[in-house]
Amino acid sequence: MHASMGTGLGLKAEHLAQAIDAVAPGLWFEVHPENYMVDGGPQLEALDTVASRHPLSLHGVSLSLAADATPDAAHLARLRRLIDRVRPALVSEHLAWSHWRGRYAPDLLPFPRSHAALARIVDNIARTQDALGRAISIENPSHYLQLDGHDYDETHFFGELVARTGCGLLLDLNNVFVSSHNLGVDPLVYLDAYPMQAVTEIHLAGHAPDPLLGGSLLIDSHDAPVADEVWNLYSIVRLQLPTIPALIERDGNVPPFEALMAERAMADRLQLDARQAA
Amino acid sequence: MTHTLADFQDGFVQAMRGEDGPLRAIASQPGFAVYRNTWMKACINTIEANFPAVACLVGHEWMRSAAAAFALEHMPMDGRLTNYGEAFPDFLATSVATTELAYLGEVARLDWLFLACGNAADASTLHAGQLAACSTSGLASTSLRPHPTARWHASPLPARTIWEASRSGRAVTGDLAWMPEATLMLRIDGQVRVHAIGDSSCALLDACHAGLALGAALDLAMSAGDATRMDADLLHLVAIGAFADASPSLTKDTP
Repeated sequence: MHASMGTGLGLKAEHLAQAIDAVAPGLWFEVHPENYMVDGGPQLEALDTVASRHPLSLHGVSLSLAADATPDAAHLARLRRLIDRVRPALVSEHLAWSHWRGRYAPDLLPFPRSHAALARIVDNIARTQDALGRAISIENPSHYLQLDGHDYDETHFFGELVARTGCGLLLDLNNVFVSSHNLGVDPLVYLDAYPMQAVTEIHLAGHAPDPLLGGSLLIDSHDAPVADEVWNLYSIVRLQLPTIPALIERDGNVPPFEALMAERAMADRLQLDARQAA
Repeated sequence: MTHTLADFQDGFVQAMRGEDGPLRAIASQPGFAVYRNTWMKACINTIEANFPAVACLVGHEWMRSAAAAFALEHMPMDGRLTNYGEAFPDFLATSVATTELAYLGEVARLDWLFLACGNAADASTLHAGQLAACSTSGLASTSLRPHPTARWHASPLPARTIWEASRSGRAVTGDLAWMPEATLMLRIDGQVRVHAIGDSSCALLDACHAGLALGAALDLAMSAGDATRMDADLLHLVAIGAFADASPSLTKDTP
Protein backbone atom coordinates (compact mmCIF):
# COMPACT_ATOMS: atom_id res chain seq x y z
CA MET A 1 0.00 0.00 0.00
CA HIS A 2 1.21 3.49 -0.84
CA ALA A 3 1.91 5.46 2.33
CA SER A 4 0.39 8.65 0.93
CA MET A 5 -2.98 7.19 -0.09
CA GLY A 6 -5.92 8.99 1.45
CA THR A 7 -9.30 9.01 -0.29
CA GLY A 8 -9.40 8.01 -3.94
CA LEU A 9 -11.91 8.14 -6.77
CA GLY A 10 -12.99 5.66 -9.37
CA LEU A 11 -11.46 6.90 -12.62
CA LYS A 12 -14.11 7.94 -15.15
CA ALA A 13 -13.30 8.53 -18.81
CA GLU A 14 -15.11 11.87 -18.76
CA HIS A 15 -12.87 13.09 -15.93
CA LEU A 16 -9.57 11.93 -17.38
CA ALA A 17 -7.94 15.32 -17.94
CA GLN A 18 -8.98 16.60 -14.50
CA ALA A 19 -7.83 13.38 -12.86
CA ILE A 20 -4.40 13.66 -14.43
CA ASP A 21 -4.01 17.29 -13.37
CA ALA A 22 -5.49 16.98 -9.87
CA VAL A 23 -3.01 17.61 -7.06
CA ALA A 24 -5.06 17.02 -3.88
CA PRO A 25 -3.01 15.39 -1.12
CA GLY A 26 -3.65 11.67 -0.81
CA LEU A 27 -5.68 11.47 -4.03
CA TRP A 28 -5.52 8.18 -5.89
CA PHE A 29 -7.56 6.42 -8.55
CA GLU A 30 -9.08 3.01 -9.08
CA VAL A 31 -9.94 1.25 -12.34
CA HIS A 32 -11.27 -2.09 -13.45
CA PRO A 33 -8.29 -3.84 -15.06
CA GLU A 34 -10.57 -5.60 -17.59
CA ASN A 35 -11.10 -2.24 -19.31
CA TYR A 36 -7.38 -1.92 -19.93
CA MET A 37 -6.57 -5.45 -21.08
CA VAL A 38 -5.96 -4.30 -24.62
CA ASP A 39 -2.88 -4.52 -26.78
CA GLY A 40 -2.33 -0.77 -27.07
CA GLY A 41 -3.93 2.52 -27.91
CA PRO A 42 -4.90 5.78 -26.23
CA GLN A 43 -6.86 4.28 -23.34
CA LEU A 44 -3.86 2.32 -22.14
CA GLU A 45 -1.61 5.35 -22.64
CA ALA A 46 -4.00 7.43 -20.55
CA LEU A 47 -3.77 4.90 -17.73
CA ASP A 48 0.02 5.08 -17.92
CA THR A 49 -0.23 8.84 -17.49
CA VAL A 50 -2.58 8.58 -14.51
CA ALA A 51 -0.29 5.97 -12.94
CA SER A 52 2.69 8.29 -13.40
CA ARG A 53 0.93 11.04 -11.41
CA HIS A 54 -1.15 9.21 -8.78
CA PRO A 55 -1.22 5.92 -6.87
CA LEU A 56 -3.43 3.45 -8.69
CA SER A 57 -5.62 0.53 -7.65
CA LEU A 58 -6.68 -2.31 -9.96
CA HIS A 59 -10.08 -3.58 -8.86
CA GLY A 60 -11.06 -6.67 -10.82
CA VAL A 61 -14.60 -7.76 -11.57
CA SER A 62 -14.14 -10.97 -13.55
CA LEU A 63 -11.59 -13.24 -11.90
CA SER A 64 -14.52 -15.34 -10.70
CA LEU A 65 -12.78 -16.62 -7.58
CA ALA A 66 -15.93 -18.32 -6.29
CA ALA A 67 -16.51 -20.39 -9.42
CA ASP A 68 -15.98 -24.11 -9.02
CA ALA A 69 -13.03 -23.92 -11.39
CA THR A 70 -9.49 -22.61 -11.37
CA PRO A 71 -8.97 -18.99 -12.48
CA ASP A 72 -8.49 -18.48 -16.20
CA ALA A 73 -4.73 -18.63 -16.79
CA ALA A 74 -4.92 -16.27 -19.76
CA HIS A 75 -6.80 -13.71 -17.65
CA LEU A 76 -4.21 -13.99 -14.90
CA ALA A 77 -1.42 -13.50 -17.45
CA ARG A 78 -3.13 -10.37 -18.80
CA LEU A 79 -3.61 -9.05 -15.27
CA ARG A 80 0.03 -9.72 -14.45
CA ARG A 81 1.12 -7.81 -17.56
CA LEU A 82 -1.02 -4.85 -16.55
CA ILE A 83 0.29 -4.95 -12.98
CA ASP A 84 3.86 -5.02 -14.25
CA ARG A 85 3.05 -2.08 -16.51
CA VAL A 86 1.27 0.32 -14.14
CA ARG A 87 2.60 -0.95 -10.80
CA PRO A 88 -0.59 -0.43 -8.78
CA ALA A 89 -0.51 0.19 -5.05
CA LEU A 90 -3.53 -2.08 -4.55
CA VAL A 91 -5.03 -5.06 -6.37
CA SER A 92 -8.42 -6.43 -5.43
CA GLU A 93 -11.25 -8.72 -6.50
CA HIS A 94 -14.71 -9.76 -5.34
CA LEU A 95 -15.96 -12.71 -3.35
CA ALA A 96 -18.19 -13.80 -6.22
CA TRP A 97 -18.28 -15.75 -9.44
CA SER A 98 -19.08 -14.64 -12.96
CA HIS A 99 -17.17 -16.90 -15.36
CA TRP A 100 -18.55 -20.38 -15.76
CA ARG A 101 -18.13 -23.10 -18.38
CA GLY A 102 -16.53 -20.76 -20.90
CA ARG A 103 -19.09 -17.98 -20.59
CA TYR A 104 -19.00 -14.74 -18.62
CA ALA A 105 -22.03 -13.15 -16.96
CA PRO A 106 -21.12 -9.50 -16.28
CA ASP A 107 -22.26 -9.57 -12.68
CA LEU A 108 -21.04 -10.63 -9.23
CA LEU A 109 -22.96 -13.79 -8.46
CA PRO A 110 -23.62 -15.35 -5.03
CA PHE A 111 -22.91 -18.86 -3.77
CA PRO A 112 -23.44 -20.93 -0.62
CA ARG A 113 -20.48 -20.45 1.71
CA SER A 114 -19.92 -24.17 2.15
CA HIS A 115 -16.80 -26.02 3.26
CA ALA A 116 -16.27 -27.03 -0.37
CA ALA A 117 -16.61 -23.42 -1.54
CA LEU A 118 -14.09 -22.28 1.03
CA ALA A 119 -11.57 -24.90 -0.09
CA ARG A 120 -12.07 -23.94 -3.73
CA ILE A 121 -11.79 -20.20 -3.13
CA VAL A 122 -8.73 -20.60 -0.90
CA ASP A 123 -7.08 -22.52 -3.74
CA ASN A 124 -8.17 -19.93 -6.30
CA ILE A 125 -6.85 -17.02 -4.26
CA ALA A 126 -3.56 -18.85 -3.70
CA ARG A 127 -3.23 -19.53 -7.44
CA THR A 128 -4.02 -15.90 -8.17
CA GLN A 129 -1.51 -14.55 -5.70
CA ASP A 130 1.15 -16.91 -7.05
CA ALA A 131 0.45 -15.82 -10.62
CA LEU A 132 0.46 -12.13 -9.74
CA GLY A 133 3.40 -12.32 -7.37
CA ARG A 134 1.58 -10.35 -4.71
CA ALA A 135 -1.29 -10.48 -2.24
CA ILE A 136 -4.73 -9.35 -3.36
CA SER A 137 -7.66 -8.06 -1.32
CA ILE A 138 -11.15 -9.53 -1.47
CA GLU A 139 -14.33 -7.42 -1.39
CA ASN A 140 -17.53 -8.34 0.44
CA PRO A 141 -20.47 -8.62 -1.99
CA SER A 142 -23.94 -7.09 -2.05
CA HIS A 143 -26.64 -9.67 -1.33
CA TYR A 144 -30.12 -9.83 -2.77
CA LEU A 145 -31.04 -13.44 -1.98
CA GLN A 146 -31.54 -15.68 1.01
CA LEU A 147 -29.46 -18.76 0.16
CA ASP A 148 -29.44 -22.11 1.96
CA GLY A 149 -26.36 -24.23 2.33
CA HIS A 150 -24.06 -21.84 4.20
CA ASP A 151 -21.57 -23.54 6.55
CA TYR A 152 -20.05 -20.17 7.50
CA ASP A 153 -21.39 -16.71 8.08
CA GLU A 154 -19.70 -14.22 5.82
CA THR A 155 -17.40 -12.61 8.37
CA HIS A 156 -16.15 -16.01 9.50
CA PHE A 157 -15.64 -17.00 5.86
CA PHE A 158 -13.49 -13.91 5.28
CA GLY A 159 -11.50 -14.72 8.41
CA GLU A 160 -10.76 -18.17 7.03
CA LEU A 161 -9.71 -16.74 3.66
CA VAL A 162 -7.30 -14.35 5.36
CA ALA A 163 -5.88 -17.03 7.64
CA ARG A 164 -5.41 -19.60 4.88
CA THR A 165 -4.15 -17.39 2.03
CA GLY A 166 -2.70 -14.24 3.57
CA CYS A 167 -5.00 -12.16 1.37
CA GLY A 168 -6.19 -8.73 2.42
CA LEU A 169 -9.77 -7.49 2.57
CA LEU A 170 -11.56 -4.69 0.81
CA LEU A 171 -14.38 -3.54 3.07
CA ASP A 172 -17.22 -2.11 0.98
CA LEU A 173 -19.43 -0.27 3.47
CA ASN A 174 -22.19 0.35 0.95
CA ASN A 175 -22.33 -3.40 0.33
CA VAL A 176 -22.47 -4.01 4.07
CA PHE A 177 -25.40 -1.63 4.38
CA VAL A 178 -27.25 -2.92 1.29
CA SER A 179 -26.77 -6.58 2.23
CA SER A 180 -27.75 -6.02 5.86
CA HIS A 181 -30.90 -4.22 4.76
CA ASN A 182 -31.84 -6.86 2.18
CA LEU A 183 -31.12 -9.83 4.46
CA GLY A 184 -32.57 -8.25 7.59
CA VAL A 185 -29.44 -8.18 9.71
CA ASP A 186 -27.70 -5.44 11.70
CA PRO A 187 -24.72 -3.93 9.84
CA LEU A 188 -23.04 -3.14 13.17
CA VAL A 189 -23.17 -6.81 14.14
CA TYR A 190 -21.57 -7.65 10.79
CA LEU A 191 -18.84 -5.05 11.28
CA ASP A 192 -18.22 -6.17 14.84
CA ALA A 193 -17.40 -9.68 13.59
CA TYR A 194 -15.50 -8.59 10.49
CA PRO A 195 -11.72 -9.22 10.48
CA MET A 196 -10.74 -5.55 10.46
CA GLN A 197 -7.05 -6.30 10.92
CA ALA A 198 -6.88 -7.52 7.29
CA VAL A 199 -8.51 -4.48 5.65
CA THR A 200 -6.37 -2.73 3.04
CA GLU A 201 -9.06 -0.56 1.42
CA ILE A 202 -12.55 0.80 2.13
CA HIS A 203 -15.19 1.39 -0.53
CA LEU A 204 -17.96 3.98 -0.31
CA ALA A 205 -20.78 4.28 -2.83
CA GLY A 206 -24.42 5.13 -3.29
CA HIS A 207 -27.38 2.78 -3.57
CA ALA A 208 -30.96 2.97 -4.78
CA PRO A 209 -34.30 1.34 -4.03
CA ASP A 210 -35.33 -1.40 -6.45
CA PRO A 211 -37.42 0.20 -9.22
CA LEU A 212 -40.22 -2.35 -8.74
CA LEU A 213 -40.02 -3.29 -5.07
CA GLY A 214 -39.08 0.08 -3.68
CA GLY A 215 -37.18 0.42 -0.42
CA SER A 216 -37.69 -3.18 0.65
CA LEU A 217 -34.84 -4.16 -1.67
CA LEU A 218 -31.82 -1.91 -2.07
CA ILE A 219 -29.59 -2.10 -5.14
CA ASP A 220 -25.85 -1.45 -5.04
CA SER A 221 -26.30 0.90 -7.96
CA HIS A 222 -23.27 3.22 -7.65
CA ASP A 223 -25.41 5.89 -9.27
CA ALA A 224 -25.96 8.26 -6.35
CA PRO A 225 -23.94 10.05 -3.69
CA VAL A 226 -22.86 8.08 -0.64
CA ALA A 227 -25.90 7.69 1.63
CA ASP A 228 -26.00 9.10 5.16
CA GLU A 229 -26.30 5.62 6.65
CA VAL A 230 -23.11 4.58 4.88
CA TRP A 231 -21.31 7.70 6.07
CA ASN A 232 -22.34 6.71 9.60
CA LEU A 233 -20.81 3.25 9.16
CA TYR A 234 -17.70 4.92 7.79
CA SER A 235 -17.35 7.10 10.87
CA ILE A 236 -17.62 4.04 13.09
CA VAL A 237 -15.16 1.97 11.06
CA ARG A 238 -12.66 4.84 10.92
CA LEU A 239 -12.23 4.56 14.69
CA GLN A 240 -10.68 1.14 14.09
CA LEU A 241 -9.07 1.86 10.72
CA PRO A 242 -7.75 5.42 10.92
CA THR A 243 -5.25 5.24 8.04
CA ILE A 244 -6.60 2.73 5.52
CA PRO A 245 -7.24 4.24 2.02
CA ALA A 246 -10.88 4.80 1.09
CA LEU A 247 -12.51 5.11 -2.32
CA ILE A 248 -15.61 6.92 -3.61
CA GLU A 249 -17.19 4.73 -6.31
CA ARG A 250 -19.54 6.20 -8.90
CA ASP A 251 -20.58 4.42 -12.09
CA GLY A 252 -23.96 5.91 -13.04
CA ASN A 253 -25.32 9.47 -13.12
CA VAL A 254 -21.69 10.52 -12.97
CA PRO A 255 -21.53 14.11 -11.67
CA PRO A 256 -18.83 16.69 -12.45
CA PHE A 257 -15.37 15.90 -11.13
CA GLU A 258 -15.74 18.65 -8.54
CA ALA A 259 -18.78 16.95 -7.02
CA LEU A 260 -16.83 13.73 -6.53
CA MET A 261 -13.96 15.70 -5.05
CA ALA A 262 -16.47 17.24 -2.59
CA GLU A 263 -17.58 13.74 -1.52
CA ARG A 264 -13.94 12.86 -1.17
CA ALA A 265 -13.46 15.89 1.10
CA MET A 266 -16.34 14.61 3.24
CA ALA A 267 -14.55 11.28 3.62
CA ASP A 268 -11.37 13.09 4.62
CA ARG A 269 -13.25 15.17 7.22
CA LEU A 270 -14.82 12.09 8.81
CA GLN A 271 -11.45 10.37 8.83
CA LEU A 272 -9.92 13.37 10.62
CA ASP A 273 -12.79 13.45 13.12
CA ALA A 274 -12.21 9.78 13.89
CA ARG A 275 -8.49 10.35 14.38
CA GLN A 276 -9.18 13.17 16.80
CA ALA A 277 -11.75 11.10 18.67
CA ALA A 278 -9.38 8.14 18.99
CA MET B 1 -29.68 -28.29 0.14
CA THR B 2 -27.20 -30.84 -1.23
CA HIS B 3 -25.95 -29.05 -4.32
CA THR B 4 -22.26 -29.11 -5.06
CA LEU B 5 -20.80 -25.72 -5.93
CA ALA B 6 -20.73 -26.70 -9.61
CA ASP B 7 -24.36 -27.87 -9.46
CA PHE B 8 -25.34 -24.59 -7.86
CA GLN B 9 -23.57 -22.60 -10.57
CA ASP B 10 -25.14 -24.64 -13.37
CA GLY B 11 -28.55 -24.12 -11.82
CA PHE B 12 -27.98 -20.42 -11.26
CA VAL B 13 -27.02 -19.82 -14.89
CA GLN B 14 -30.06 -21.83 -15.98
CA ALA B 15 -32.30 -19.70 -13.79
CA MET B 16 -30.74 -16.44 -15.02
CA ARG B 17 -31.62 -17.50 -18.55
CA GLY B 18 -35.21 -17.94 -17.43
CA GLU B 19 -35.15 -21.73 -17.68
CA ASP B 20 -36.75 -24.01 -15.11
CA GLY B 21 -34.31 -25.99 -12.99
CA PRO B 22 -33.25 -27.06 -9.50
CA LEU B 23 -32.93 -23.48 -8.19
CA ARG B 24 -36.53 -22.48 -8.90
CA ALA B 25 -37.07 -21.62 -5.22
CA ILE B 26 -34.14 -19.21 -5.29
CA ALA B 27 -35.20 -17.85 -8.66
CA SER B 28 -38.65 -17.09 -7.26
CA GLN B 29 -37.25 -14.67 -4.66
CA PRO B 30 -37.79 -11.01 -5.62
CA GLY B 31 -34.07 -10.31 -5.40
CA PHE B 32 -33.23 -12.84 -8.10
CA ALA B 33 -34.41 -10.38 -10.73
CA VAL B 34 -31.48 -8.15 -9.76
CA TYR B 35 -29.03 -10.76 -11.07
CA ARG B 36 -31.14 -11.61 -14.10
CA ASN B 37 -31.43 -7.95 -15.02
CA THR B 38 -27.86 -6.92 -14.22
CA TRP B 39 -26.06 -9.33 -16.54
CA MET B 40 -28.51 -8.70 -19.35
CA LYS B 41 -28.34 -4.93 -18.90
CA ALA B 42 -24.53 -5.06 -18.92
CA CYS B 43 -24.53 -7.07 -22.16
CA ILE B 44 -27.04 -4.73 -23.80
CA ASN B 45 -25.20 -1.60 -22.67
CA THR B 46 -21.94 -3.01 -24.01
CA ILE B 47 -23.38 -3.87 -27.42
CA GLU B 48 -24.97 -0.44 -27.64
CA ALA B 49 -21.65 1.21 -26.72
CA ASN B 50 -19.55 -0.96 -29.04
CA PHE B 51 -21.83 -0.40 -32.06
CA PRO B 52 -22.72 3.31 -31.95
CA ALA B 53 -23.35 3.70 -35.68
CA VAL B 54 -25.84 0.84 -35.66
CA ALA B 55 -27.50 2.27 -32.55
CA CYS B 56 -27.83 5.64 -34.25
CA LEU B 57 -29.38 4.07 -37.35
CA VAL B 58 -31.95 1.87 -35.65
CA GLY B 59 -32.74 3.89 -32.53
CA HIS B 60 -32.52 3.07 -28.84
CA GLU B 61 -35.41 0.62 -28.49
CA TRP B 62 -34.65 -1.47 -31.58
CA MET B 63 -30.97 -1.59 -30.67
CA ARG B 64 -31.61 -2.79 -27.13
CA SER B 65 -34.04 -5.39 -28.35
CA ALA B 66 -31.52 -6.72 -30.89
CA ALA B 67 -28.74 -6.63 -28.28
CA ALA B 68 -30.89 -8.61 -25.83
CA ALA B 69 -31.61 -11.27 -28.45
CA PHE B 70 -27.91 -11.40 -29.27
CA ALA B 71 -26.90 -11.70 -25.61
CA LEU B 72 -29.16 -14.71 -25.09
CA GLU B 73 -27.40 -16.50 -27.96
CA HIS B 74 -23.91 -15.14 -27.37
CA MET B 75 -22.90 -14.51 -23.78
CA PRO B 76 -19.51 -12.79 -23.36
CA MET B 77 -16.51 -15.11 -23.21
CA ASP B 78 -14.63 -13.13 -20.54
CA GLY B 79 -14.56 -9.89 -18.64
CA ARG B 80 -13.03 -7.79 -21.41
CA LEU B 81 -16.26 -6.26 -22.61
CA THR B 82 -14.47 -4.16 -25.23
CA ASN B 83 -14.08 -7.56 -26.92
CA TYR B 84 -17.78 -8.38 -26.70
CA GLY B 85 -19.82 -8.36 -29.89
CA GLU B 86 -17.53 -9.82 -32.53
CA ALA B 87 -20.42 -12.00 -33.73
CA PHE B 88 -22.95 -9.15 -33.65
CA PRO B 89 -22.42 -8.08 -37.29
CA ASP B 90 -23.16 -11.62 -38.50
CA PHE B 91 -26.09 -11.82 -36.09
CA LEU B 92 -27.56 -8.67 -37.60
CA ALA B 93 -26.82 -9.78 -41.14
CA THR B 94 -28.67 -13.05 -40.68
CA SER B 95 -31.45 -11.80 -38.42
CA VAL B 96 -34.90 -12.05 -39.96
CA ALA B 97 -35.75 -8.72 -38.40
CA THR B 98 -33.18 -6.95 -40.55
CA THR B 99 -33.97 -8.27 -44.01
CA GLU B 100 -35.16 -4.78 -44.93
CA LEU B 101 -32.02 -3.28 -43.41
CA ALA B 102 -29.44 -5.42 -45.15
CA TYR B 103 -26.72 -2.84 -44.64
CA LEU B 104 -26.87 -3.05 -40.82
CA GLY B 105 -24.52 -6.02 -40.63
CA GLU B 106 -22.02 -4.20 -42.84
CA VAL B 107 -22.24 -1.03 -40.76
CA ALA B 108 -21.82 -3.11 -37.59
CA ARG B 109 -18.68 -4.65 -39.10
CA LEU B 110 -17.17 -1.17 -39.45
CA ASP B 111 -18.11 -0.29 -35.85
CA TRP B 112 -16.32 -3.45 -34.77
CA LEU B 113 -13.22 -2.72 -36.85
CA PHE B 114 -13.11 0.81 -35.44
CA LEU B 115 -13.10 -0.58 -31.90
CA ALA B 116 -10.45 -3.20 -32.71
CA CYS B 117 -8.27 -0.62 -34.46
CA GLY B 118 -8.41 1.67 -31.43
CA ASN B 119 -7.27 -1.07 -29.02
CA ALA B 120 -4.68 -2.78 -31.23
CA ALA B 121 -0.98 -2.96 -30.43
CA ASP B 122 1.26 0.00 -31.09
CA ALA B 123 4.04 -0.34 -33.68
CA SER B 124 6.13 1.90 -35.87
CA THR B 125 5.16 2.14 -39.52
CA LEU B 126 7.06 1.17 -42.64
CA HIS B 127 8.25 4.14 -44.66
CA ALA B 128 8.65 4.28 -48.42
CA GLY B 129 12.38 4.92 -48.07
CA GLN B 130 12.83 1.48 -46.52
CA LEU B 131 11.31 -0.14 -49.62
CA ALA B 132 13.35 2.07 -51.94
CA ALA B 133 16.51 0.69 -50.40
CA CYS B 134 15.66 -2.83 -51.64
CA SER B 135 16.59 -4.26 -55.00
CA THR B 136 13.69 -5.21 -57.31
CA SER B 137 14.20 -8.93 -56.78
CA GLY B 138 14.68 -8.41 -53.07
CA LEU B 139 11.47 -6.43 -52.89
CA ALA B 140 9.49 -9.21 -54.58
CA SER B 141 10.63 -11.72 -51.98
CA THR B 142 10.04 -9.39 -49.04
CA SER B 143 7.10 -9.98 -46.76
CA LEU B 144 5.22 -6.87 -45.66
CA ARG B 145 3.22 -7.09 -42.46
CA PRO B 146 0.04 -5.02 -42.19
CA HIS B 147 0.31 -2.58 -39.30
CA PRO B 148 -1.16 -4.09 -36.10
CA THR B 149 -3.82 -1.38 -36.02
CA ALA B 150 -4.84 -1.95 -39.67
CA ARG B 151 -8.38 -3.22 -40.11
CA TRP B 152 -9.92 -3.43 -43.55
CA HIS B 153 -13.15 -4.63 -45.11
CA ALA B 154 -14.53 -4.81 -48.63
CA SER B 155 -18.28 -4.33 -48.43
CA PRO B 156 -20.67 -5.10 -51.28
CA LEU B 157 -22.66 -2.08 -50.08
CA PRO B 158 -21.84 1.61 -49.45
CA ALA B 159 -21.29 0.71 -45.81
CA ARG B 160 -18.61 3.31 -45.13
CA THR B 161 -20.72 6.20 -46.36
CA ILE B 162 -23.64 5.09 -44.18
CA TRP B 163 -21.34 4.36 -41.22
CA GLU B 164 -19.54 7.70 -41.37
CA ALA B 165 -22.81 9.61 -41.61
CA SER B 166 -24.22 7.69 -38.67
CA ARG B 167 -21.12 8.13 -36.51
CA SER B 168 -21.30 11.87 -37.02
CA GLY B 169 -25.05 12.01 -36.44
CA ARG B 170 -25.88 13.00 -40.02
CA ALA B 171 -28.63 11.55 -42.17
CA VAL B 172 -27.47 9.71 -45.27
CA THR B 173 -28.25 11.90 -48.27
CA GLY B 174 -30.75 10.80 -50.86
CA ASP B 175 -28.14 10.68 -53.61
CA LEU B 176 -26.24 7.79 -52.00
CA ALA B 177 -24.62 5.69 -54.74
CA TRP B 178 -25.52 2.07 -53.97
CA MET B 179 -22.02 0.80 -54.82
CA PRO B 180 -19.49 -1.47 -53.07
CA GLU B 181 -17.01 0.29 -50.79
CA ALA B 182 -13.74 -0.97 -49.33
CA THR B 183 -12.44 0.63 -46.14
CA LEU B 184 -9.14 0.67 -44.28
CA MET B 185 -8.80 1.91 -40.70
CA LEU B 186 -5.46 2.80 -39.14
CA ARG B 187 -4.61 4.34 -35.80
CA ILE B 188 -2.17 7.21 -36.16
CA ASP B 189 -1.10 9.25 -33.11
CA GLY B 190 -3.91 7.76 -31.06
CA GLN B 191 -6.64 8.60 -33.60
CA VAL B 192 -8.38 6.08 -35.82
CA ARG B 193 -8.21 7.30 -39.43
CA VAL B 194 -10.64 5.94 -42.00
CA HIS B 195 -9.51 5.54 -45.61
CA ALA B 196 -11.37 4.61 -48.76
CA ILE B 197 -9.38 1.98 -50.65
CA GLY B 198 -9.97 -0.21 -53.68
CA ASP B 199 -10.67 -3.92 -53.88
CA SER B 200 -7.13 -4.55 -55.06
CA SER B 201 -5.69 -2.85 -51.99
CA CYS B 202 -7.92 -5.03 -49.83
CA ALA B 203 -6.66 -8.10 -51.66
CA LEU B 204 -3.06 -6.95 -51.22
CA LEU B 205 -3.57 -6.49 -47.47
CA ASP B 206 -5.23 -9.91 -47.27
CA ALA B 207 -2.30 -11.53 -49.08
CA CYS B 208 0.30 -9.75 -46.96
CA HIS B 209 -1.61 -10.68 -43.81
CA ALA B 210 -1.52 -14.32 -44.97
CA GLY B 211 2.27 -14.06 -45.14
CA LEU B 212 2.76 -14.05 -48.91
CA ALA B 213 5.90 -12.41 -50.28
CA LEU B 214 5.23 -9.03 -51.83
CA GLY B 215 5.65 -10.27 -55.42
CA ALA B 216 3.06 -13.02 -54.96
CA ALA B 217 0.81 -10.70 -53.00
CA LEU B 218 0.85 -8.13 -55.80
CA ASP B 219 0.06 -10.81 -58.39
CA LEU B 220 -2.93 -11.90 -56.35
CA ALA B 221 -4.09 -8.33 -55.78
CA MET B 222 -3.87 -7.48 -59.48
CA SER B 223 -6.42 -10.15 -60.24
CA ALA B 224 -8.84 -8.49 -57.82
CA GLY B 225 -8.79 -4.98 -59.24
CA ASP B 226 -7.25 -2.52 -61.64
CA ALA B 227 -3.83 -4.02 -62.40
CA THR B 228 -2.54 -0.74 -63.82
CA ARG B 229 -2.99 0.98 -60.47
CA MET B 230 -1.27 -1.65 -58.35
CA ASP B 231 2.03 0.20 -57.92
CA ALA B 232 0.16 3.37 -57.02
CA ASP B 233 -2.06 1.45 -54.61
CA LEU B 234 0.97 -0.07 -52.89
CA LEU B 235 2.65 3.30 -52.56
CA HIS B 236 -0.57 4.81 -51.21
CA LEU B 237 -0.88 2.07 -48.59
CA VAL B 238 2.73 2.62 -47.53
CA ALA B 239 2.24 6.38 -47.44
CA ILE B 240 -0.76 6.20 -45.11
CA GLY B 241 1.03 3.79 -42.75
CA ALA B 242 -0.73 0.54 -43.58
CA PHE B 243 2.37 -1.60 -43.02
CA ALA B 244 4.46 -2.15 -39.91
CA ASP B 245 8.12 -1.38 -39.87
CA ALA B 246 9.47 -4.63 -41.28
CA SER B 247 13.16 -3.91 -41.02
CA PRO B 248 14.13 -7.36 -39.69
CA SER B 249 12.08 -9.05 -42.41
CA LEU B 250 13.55 -6.82 -45.11
CA THR B 251 17.04 -7.53 -43.89
CA LYS B 252 16.35 -11.24 -43.80
CA ASP B 253 14.73 -11.53 -47.22
CA THR B 254 16.77 -9.01 -49.17
CA PRO B 255 19.79 -10.56 -50.94
